[in-house]
Amino acid sequence: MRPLSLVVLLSLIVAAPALGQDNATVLLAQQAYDELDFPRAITLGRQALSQRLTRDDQVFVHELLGLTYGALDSTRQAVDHFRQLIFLDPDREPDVNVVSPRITSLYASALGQVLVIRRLRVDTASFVAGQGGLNIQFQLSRPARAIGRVVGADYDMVIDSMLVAGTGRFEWRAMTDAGDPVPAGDYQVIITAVEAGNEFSAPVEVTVTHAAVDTSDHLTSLPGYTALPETEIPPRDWKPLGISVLYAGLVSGASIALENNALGESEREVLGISVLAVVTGLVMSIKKPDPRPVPANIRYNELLRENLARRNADIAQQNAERRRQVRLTIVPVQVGGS
Amino acid sequence: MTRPSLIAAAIVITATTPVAAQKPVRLGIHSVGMTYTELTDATKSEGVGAGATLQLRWRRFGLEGLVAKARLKPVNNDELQEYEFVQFDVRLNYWIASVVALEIGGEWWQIDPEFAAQEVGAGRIGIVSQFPLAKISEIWARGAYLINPRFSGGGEAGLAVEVGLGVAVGTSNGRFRVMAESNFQRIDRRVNGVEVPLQLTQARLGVVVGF
Repeated sequence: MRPLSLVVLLSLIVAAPALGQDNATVLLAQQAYDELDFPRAITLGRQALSQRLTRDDQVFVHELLGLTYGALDSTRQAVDHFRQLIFLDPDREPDVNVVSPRITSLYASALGQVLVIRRLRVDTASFVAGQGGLNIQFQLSRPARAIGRVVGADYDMVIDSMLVAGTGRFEWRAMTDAGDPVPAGDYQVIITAVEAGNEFSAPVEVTVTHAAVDTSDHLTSLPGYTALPETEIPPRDWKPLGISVLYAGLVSGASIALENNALGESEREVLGISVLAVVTGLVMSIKKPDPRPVPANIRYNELLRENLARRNADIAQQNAERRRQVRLTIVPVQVGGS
Repeated sequence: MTRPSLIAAAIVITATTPVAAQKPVRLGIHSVGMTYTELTDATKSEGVGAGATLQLRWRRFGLEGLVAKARLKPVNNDELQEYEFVQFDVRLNYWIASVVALEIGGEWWQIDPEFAAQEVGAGRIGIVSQFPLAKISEIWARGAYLINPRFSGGGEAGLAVEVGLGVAVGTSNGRFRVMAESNFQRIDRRVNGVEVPLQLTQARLGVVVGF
């Protein structure tokens, strides 16, 4: 045996399919493969395929035969079995870190000859009906037209159709033709790839649940903004005393000046009230000054209140809208291929 | 729009613009002490009494009515008899600025028994200035010329003026005030060319309730 073939064989041993089957023939084929008895492994593998095998066993045997034929340089047979393997399990592929480049190349050759949908993925999505959708991602092994379709109880809708080369993406908005959210329940998202006479479909089960849309709390203050004090205590001043002295002085002076001398003095009442006025002015000057409004702060607070009211009105409107809405949560159940 | 209509519109707008925050209705009661002198110091009478006031305020307009009654007793002449002095006073203000108002009005003194003193009726035109000393206090002064005084004993007046001073302290909401006010009037009455002057000074102390 040539050194290169030995390396390939060793890599094949390392890359041998994991043992986990119950079928006796399959187990024997696996054992023969492990012992590098490739002709016997092929015989047993073919014999196993003629039996009634589970899907996993079929996948296992086709992979075993593909690797075995590859080791024996039987390219056509290896590609045939890899093609069968890809049809059965499109997402299964050899680990490039384990198998030889030759096997990887054979697998790639097989992949290029078939039309399959691979890596079909849907992520769990939660969105308000009409304002989002479920992302559906997939890859086609060859350029083809992809058709997305969702089927459920009393529901069958083609969500999109497009030519895809490589990776494709659909979005299912989970709405009916009437614009209503789809009823809660189980649905099947089916991606079908069509190319000439070839067709391949891959489904994924999803479960749709309904929930009320969360409403927002009303704001009591605007984040980042604080109301300013609308009054301030001014510094003490003697204006009240000055004003009272001025008023009392003017009136007392006028009274004295206007007094008729022939009638004697009679300004007792006026002077008494004048003294009272001055004392009042003094007290008002000494006491703690009254708070005075700060117009700029008042205006600022008004704007703040107006903005707060506007925001709360918006929130109320949004909440009213949300109470009529439905939150859809879509969870994938399983991914498979056919 | 014509000029007269523009002027009229401006007057209406100015007249109906509020100038100061004050309770629109104020009711007050007060005690009054007064000195009344006529002709000479020998006729000086003094006495005390009580009175009531009503003040209305609407935008720039103010209306004030006062009634007071006092019993006056001559202090320098035992031969003169006591008498009742009843005063009716009305004032209409128009506030041309927040602290200044023009004032017109009239007053009437009623004496009982008749001719114990002069009954006087007069109009007035003057000015009043009110200034807030603090949120709880205000002071005001007024001066007026008494127009065309009429006397029960006849005669006419040359100079007839009054000046007054008031101060009030109360609650910050303006609902309650304790007030003190003085009023001085001089009327130079002349009868058949003979000077018969009158002089009245009053001091009022009372409370005012605003609504």
